[in-house]
Amino acid sequence: MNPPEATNLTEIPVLEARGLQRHFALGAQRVAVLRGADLRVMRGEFAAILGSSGSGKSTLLHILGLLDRPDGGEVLWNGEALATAGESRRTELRATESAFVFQFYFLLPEFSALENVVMPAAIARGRGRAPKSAAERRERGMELLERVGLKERMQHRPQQLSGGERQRVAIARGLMNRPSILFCDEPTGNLDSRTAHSIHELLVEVNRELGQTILVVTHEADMAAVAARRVVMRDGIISPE
Amino acid sequence: MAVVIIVRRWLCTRWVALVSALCIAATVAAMVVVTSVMDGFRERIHHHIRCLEPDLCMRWRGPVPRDHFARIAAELKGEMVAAGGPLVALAPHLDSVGVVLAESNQTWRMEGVRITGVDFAKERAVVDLDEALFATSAENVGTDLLGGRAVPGLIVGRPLLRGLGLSAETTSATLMTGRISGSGANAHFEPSNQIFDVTGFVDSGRDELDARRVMVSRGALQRLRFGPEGGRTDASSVHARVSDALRGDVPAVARALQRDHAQLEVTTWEDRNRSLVDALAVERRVMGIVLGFIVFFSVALLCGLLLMMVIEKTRDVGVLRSMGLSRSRVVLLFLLYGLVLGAAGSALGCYGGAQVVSHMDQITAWLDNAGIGPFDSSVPYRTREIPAVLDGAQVAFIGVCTLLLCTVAAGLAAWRASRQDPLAALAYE
Ligand SMILES: Nc1ncnc2c1ncn2[C@@H]1O[C@H](COP(=O)(O)OP(=O)(O)O)[C@@H](O)[C@H]1O
Ligand SMILES: [Mg+2]
Repeated sequence: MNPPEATNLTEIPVLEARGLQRHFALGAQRVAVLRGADLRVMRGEFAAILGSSGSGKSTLLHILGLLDRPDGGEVLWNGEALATAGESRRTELRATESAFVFQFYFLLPEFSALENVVMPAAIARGRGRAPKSAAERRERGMELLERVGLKERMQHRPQQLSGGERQRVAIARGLMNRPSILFCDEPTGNLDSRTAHSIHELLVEVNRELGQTILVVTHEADMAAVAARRVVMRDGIISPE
Repeated sequence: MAVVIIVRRWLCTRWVALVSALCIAATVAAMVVVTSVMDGFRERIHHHIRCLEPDLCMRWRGPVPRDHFARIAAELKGEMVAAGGPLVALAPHLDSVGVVLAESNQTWRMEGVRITGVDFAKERAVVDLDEALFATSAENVGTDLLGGRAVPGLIVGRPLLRGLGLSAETTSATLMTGRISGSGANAHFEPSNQIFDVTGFVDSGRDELDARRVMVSRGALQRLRFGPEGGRTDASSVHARVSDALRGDVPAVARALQRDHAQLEVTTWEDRNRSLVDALAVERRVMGIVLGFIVFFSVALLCGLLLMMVIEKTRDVGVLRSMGLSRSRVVLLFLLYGLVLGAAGSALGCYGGAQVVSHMDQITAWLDNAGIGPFDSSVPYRTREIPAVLDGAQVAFIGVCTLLLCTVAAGLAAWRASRQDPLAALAYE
């Protein structure tokens, strides 16, 4: 039993996975990537899933983040079962309750840093905790960019930013709609160790100061080390470190 | 809202898309201009034809009676506008063939011609003679160019002026025709000739006809052919003008007359110029099809561009989907993007085409001055302008058809985008 569960028996986890299964058909072969993965992430937690490359971390994160559906098992967000929920509900929750930070940043190239940060709010259109008005959005966008240390780079396009700066923009974008949980898929996998370190610090800061729940999947021990709780993914299941 | 923001940004940053919209605009404009100019030419040619061709030409069935004109006039009394009918005026025509001769610089020249004997005043009431008729001297302008003169008047087709070597000094010409008298083995041709004053020339815009055309007064032709005692027949045919309200549909009037007057043989100006009228119609249709294909290809270009855009933007779409943009909004995104480009292209094309058509005179004058005009300056055109008729309904039709095509193109791209798996783009770099 994990300590958080022991102390918060009545609290509903922000995110819960029960016996997740996922396999891919490779020709005639069936490759089982997830074989009954279980996970609980509580509010305000900074959790990391450590696993070697190809262990199925991204697959898991996509299922947890409602981008993909499991072949078996259940995903619950704040207690709501979503594995087989309708697409419109899942789409709505993606817009309001979660955000992704990807290894390769995936900023929209035609938009400035600020516009990229504001984009999730434009999609959410005032639902959930997303800022309601255009002015509010812009203000929050500038605030977040300032917070991630890019006050001077708001009008710059992604091509004009370094990898570390781009990832900071992506993190600011992830925080825009005040999501219940921020999913990070190898957030420092494409950065040199010094830049990676600053991103680690930024994520810790965001978790501490904003109380942002974060789930990181990574194969880097350094990255996992900064998380308050670490679990390991191996052979399609998740086990304590 | 995000969709609108993205579409706006794509429109501003993708010049290829603007090029494809301009491509559509250019082809649509070309279609508008070309169809308008073709309509203009068709209208002008029809107009030229109708300057000298009557709306209707009628003949009594069977042997031509001596009082041909009087008989037909009596028959059609009830068809005149005064009696509530469609016909404004009737004019008798006496046709013959002959030769016209003239001497200039001690050289005699001779041309074979078709001679038409008309009553000048009646003829003017039936066709727009004045539009094609030019007096050879200022003093004759506005007078009866044929009858009521000491030396009878002769009007020749414009090309004949040169063919006969006629000039300001030489204005008289001899007209020669005749009749066949006797019968059987005794039949013989009795020629007759007379000197005429060339008082005017006609220019119908169709030189091949004008080169063989002369007009004299009907009385003069009757006397020339049949001697002083007058004619055996007063008219070979009777020409009629249809009221302005019905001039647009002469064939219908002809059909009604034919039905009610079985004794008459009625032909229309279109019947008598069938090959030209049909050629114009076919030309216009073929041109429309060809230009339609060009517009179609420009829309296909847009479609290809949109499809490439869908593929290029797979990852961005994946990211947007991960941020909670629904599949239907992705469809909307590409649909809107394609439609804005298509609509801008069609609208700009229609507007640009209409502008070109309505400023055709200035444009051709400018081109002409710049020495790159469409006119061959060695040919003395009466007017140096390109006729163009702007038909609003036709422009709207072209615009709407193009927009529909663009909708299909955008729909295809949007459909393709909706089938894309957002995960495939997000999993790997
Ligand atoms: N769409 C797919 N089709 C087939 N196999 C896949 C697909 N996605 C992932 N896999 C396989 O599943 C395994 C886990 O992939 P992934 O979750 O990306 O691993 P990780 O993120 O831990 O590196 C890999 O062997 C990969 O080849
Ligand atoms: Mg991965």
